[in-house]
Amino acid sequence: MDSLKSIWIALTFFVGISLSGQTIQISGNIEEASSGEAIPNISIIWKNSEGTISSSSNSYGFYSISIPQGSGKLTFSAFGYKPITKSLKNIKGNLKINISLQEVSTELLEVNVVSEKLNNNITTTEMSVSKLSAKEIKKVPQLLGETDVIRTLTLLPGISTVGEGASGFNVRGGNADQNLIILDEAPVYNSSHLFGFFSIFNADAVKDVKLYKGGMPANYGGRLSSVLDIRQKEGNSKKFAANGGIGLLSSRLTLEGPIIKDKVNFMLAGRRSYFDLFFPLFDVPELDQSIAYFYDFNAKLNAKISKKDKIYLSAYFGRDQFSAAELFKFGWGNWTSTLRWNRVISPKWFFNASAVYSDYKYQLGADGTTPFEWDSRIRNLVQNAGWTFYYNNAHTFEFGIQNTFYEFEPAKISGPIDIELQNEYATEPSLYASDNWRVTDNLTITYGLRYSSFYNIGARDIQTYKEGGIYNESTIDDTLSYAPGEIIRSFNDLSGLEPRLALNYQVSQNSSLKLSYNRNRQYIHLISNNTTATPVNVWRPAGTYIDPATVSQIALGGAHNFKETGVRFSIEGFYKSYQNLIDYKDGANLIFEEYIETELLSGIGRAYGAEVLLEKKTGALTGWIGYTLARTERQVTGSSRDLRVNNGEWYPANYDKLHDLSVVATWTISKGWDVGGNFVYQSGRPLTYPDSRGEFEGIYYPVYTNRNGGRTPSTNRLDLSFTYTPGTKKLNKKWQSSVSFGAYNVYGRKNPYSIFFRGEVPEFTNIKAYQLSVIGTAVPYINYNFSF
Amino acid sequence: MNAYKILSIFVFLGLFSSCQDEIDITLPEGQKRLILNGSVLDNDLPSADLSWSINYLAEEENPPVLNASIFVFEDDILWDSLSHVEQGHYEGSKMGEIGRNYSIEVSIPESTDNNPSGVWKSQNEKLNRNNPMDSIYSIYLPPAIFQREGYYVYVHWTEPLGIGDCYRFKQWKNDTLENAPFNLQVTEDQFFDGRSFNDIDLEAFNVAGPERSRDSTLENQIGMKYSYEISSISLSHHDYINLIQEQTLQVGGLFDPPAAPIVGNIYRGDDTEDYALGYFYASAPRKSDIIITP
Repeated sequence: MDSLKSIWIALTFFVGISLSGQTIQISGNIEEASSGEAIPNISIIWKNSEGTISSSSNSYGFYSISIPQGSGKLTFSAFGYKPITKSLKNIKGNLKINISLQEVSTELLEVNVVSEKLNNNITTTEMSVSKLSAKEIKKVPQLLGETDVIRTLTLLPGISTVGEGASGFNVRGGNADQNLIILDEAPVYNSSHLFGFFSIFNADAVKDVKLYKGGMPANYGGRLSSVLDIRQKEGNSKKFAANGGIGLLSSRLTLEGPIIKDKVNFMLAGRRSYFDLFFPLFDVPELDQSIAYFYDFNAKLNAKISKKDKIYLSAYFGRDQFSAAELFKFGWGNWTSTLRWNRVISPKWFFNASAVYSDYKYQLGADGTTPFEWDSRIRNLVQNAGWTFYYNNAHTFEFGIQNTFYEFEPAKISGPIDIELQNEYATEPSLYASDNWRVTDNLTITYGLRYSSFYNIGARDIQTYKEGGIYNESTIDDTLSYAPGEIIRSFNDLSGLEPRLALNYQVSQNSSLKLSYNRNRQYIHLISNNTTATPVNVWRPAGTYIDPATVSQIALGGAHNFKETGVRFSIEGFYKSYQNLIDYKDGANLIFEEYIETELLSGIGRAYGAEVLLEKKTGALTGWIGYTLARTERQVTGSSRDLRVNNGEWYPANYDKLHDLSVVATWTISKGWDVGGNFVYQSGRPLTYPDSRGEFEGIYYPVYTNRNGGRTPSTNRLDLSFTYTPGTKKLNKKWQSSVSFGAYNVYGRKNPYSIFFRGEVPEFTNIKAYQLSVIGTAVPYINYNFSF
Repeated sequence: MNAYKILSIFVFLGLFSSCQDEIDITLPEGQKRLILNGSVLDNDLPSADLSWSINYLAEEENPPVLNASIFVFEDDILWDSLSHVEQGHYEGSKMGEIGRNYSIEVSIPESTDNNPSGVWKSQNEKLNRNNPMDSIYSIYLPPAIFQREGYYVYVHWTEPLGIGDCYRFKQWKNDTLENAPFNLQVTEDQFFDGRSFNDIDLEAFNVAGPERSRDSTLENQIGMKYSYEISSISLSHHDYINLIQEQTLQVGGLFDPPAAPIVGNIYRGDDTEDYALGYFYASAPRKSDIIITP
């Protein structure tokens, strides 16, 4: 507890040093003119004869800027919105200015005007951040036309997947479980529908998406590799609106509107797949009793309860369901809900508090003559309270406290014998503080500190082992019982400190150099040794035998905007060092394992590389070219052969790909017609080749000695989309619709997901090599979208 | 149409247009290792099959070891020696006893064929208890959802009370062992400890049924002999067989586990870093037969 006290004292001092100074404060909320949606990341620039001062709106659309007394011009601008400039004369006191920005098509924006005003990628300390709006995501050609947030993100540098159809994503050499995915501040534990082919995020309900690959702000923690922050739409506060679409795989509908105009509004969105509706076409009686579908609902209610207070209630519920009559049934899904309160305490102080519930569960079972149900889930209760203090033009402080309570229910089986694994409980309190410090006109530093701790608590029985650090049946020593709430193991020392630093040096008006460092700690782990995680993999917390994993990342980069063309260029190099990464014993049995420590190993990792991004966000032709050159490796050393992986040598991670190139483009050919295209090239991924053949009672089996020593061939793919929007000349037309059609993997390339070996059925002798292509042909699609 | 076809459709829906194409590939040559598969049973003579590992894609069989000296130990005391019968197959003269521990030692002299030489030893394997099968019978079932018309063979069996037992299941059709990787069936008893497989909520073992091929007819099944065997095994052997099945069947797919060395319980001398392939086990197998009649 001494260390906690020290943190508090430092925090108090940290804030206290800044409680002085006199300037005029202009603050307010920024919203979208037609819908009333709060707009984050709006650039706010004050200009007068003495110079320029800049700021930006926060995640909730609030801004505050400190300016000197006098006259000047205040400009609010962002990509996709018509800038607004306010001339202010002889201002002497604080002002509140709420702004409504009007959306405009990016192709109508004049490049030179926009690029001059929107240099916030040059002025901000943010690096290693990928931002996408729902509008941008919808333009990218997708598999079966299903707009997919995560699939789109993987087209950006540093973000990849193991292969087509793999669930989750990998950021700068991190496992899929090292990404903190939050939907309106609620953690999401499985972001996949249909085993990973689609993400659970309905793009119609999403406002914006921000992915931190490094240089994470201090208010984020709990995962090693990235934070994917997804904000749901708040709903139209001006008028009732609807939009939706009918596709080959699913249909969707979103409704939004005011309940009390400009005060209380809602958003409701739903989506359901319907490939099971086509089962009758197969003319198979068994399929009539089969189910295969997914659905999701998004909802949000916002209320402005006073001039200073807003309350938000948002929720997500989604399920995947599969069953074949009484033979089997399988389902999984997330439920999240967030209650959030924003208060503008004063022009300089902004407060955000939230209470979050998150629940991910899956069920397996059968209804036949030996019926059984298998349930597993992970539940969270999260509390956040954060303050932002806009002290002056040079300093913006943020600080807050967070706590996450976890309940892990690894497996509960009811059937011939009722049996369950013990639940696990844990709590993760944390504190953070940071300062965005504009040191000079050219130099800005964001520095901060996060302190996280973790308590694994009872009730639970813990198996103890004889000395030597080897956990298996033969070394079991005793069993210790812990009462409910009793601390089993705590992690509350100084190794919970997570320093964060981001530095931006503006070389010129259009160029900057950036540096960032972050240390992150992760206390929960997805127990999965599959090539890609499955819905039935379970999360387990750090505890008696599992240490928290940590990563230190340093990144160096530069950004340059080409003023004449509106093209942005950025380059970044990074190095990451991982400690206490979980790995698995050869042949580990992870299903229904009470004492999971008997199957786990611990190792280290490293990832390094360079990322280049060239993007154009305005004009008729928009898109980006992203390239990543990277390596990611693991090492597990141990005292004996069964405690090592790859004989203790470094080996490439499953998703290690040296080259990753993406070209994404959307071209407005004419009024009404848009063409989109993606081209993706990736190096092959590692896999393990057998180097000899064993035999067991007539069955041949492979002998592996070199983990991930081989590679699949490289992959490439082209996707195309065409969108026709009739009647675009009639801007005020109420009913608007569009038709999209195209194809994924246009030239039908059989990209290898893996290479494997199998004997011929039935004897499984005469072994041959095969290449598996998950999507081995062109996949066409057509969608109809509408809004009114 | 049966359950497997339905599942195939689900897989198709999941994987859209996934495809598997045969390719040519050259694999690395690994270290040559001894393969030893041996057993001690409580109702048959001890035996061992010895061969050498070869390239994974080799078309020939693994070359046999013909010149080994093999000894079996009971509770660490020399108990039996195995003699070469044919093509790397060795046999002893005694039957094991439930509750005893057994191990094997193999010596291979130096030779001019570049094969390794030395002494390999297994770890101890306990010969675990087992119950005989209560009954085996067949019944005719008409066509239904997920059920092909034909004769289905069932087994009643009661698992010994006390958790921690493991079993392997084998089946024969007309005295031919069904011996593909998916026939490697093992289980632990934690979900049915002490229960009878013919009870409420715990149906009898369905061990065989009509073939899945379209050519299969009801008449084909008449006169067919089905045999089924339940063997007690150790947890270590259970894990080993599971791993073989996993590493031969679950390969290359999206949700498959990583490639892993399959290491049994046999090492060169006392060096657990230098392992042989294969497994030496002790078991109490219980077998029953039935011939299908109309």
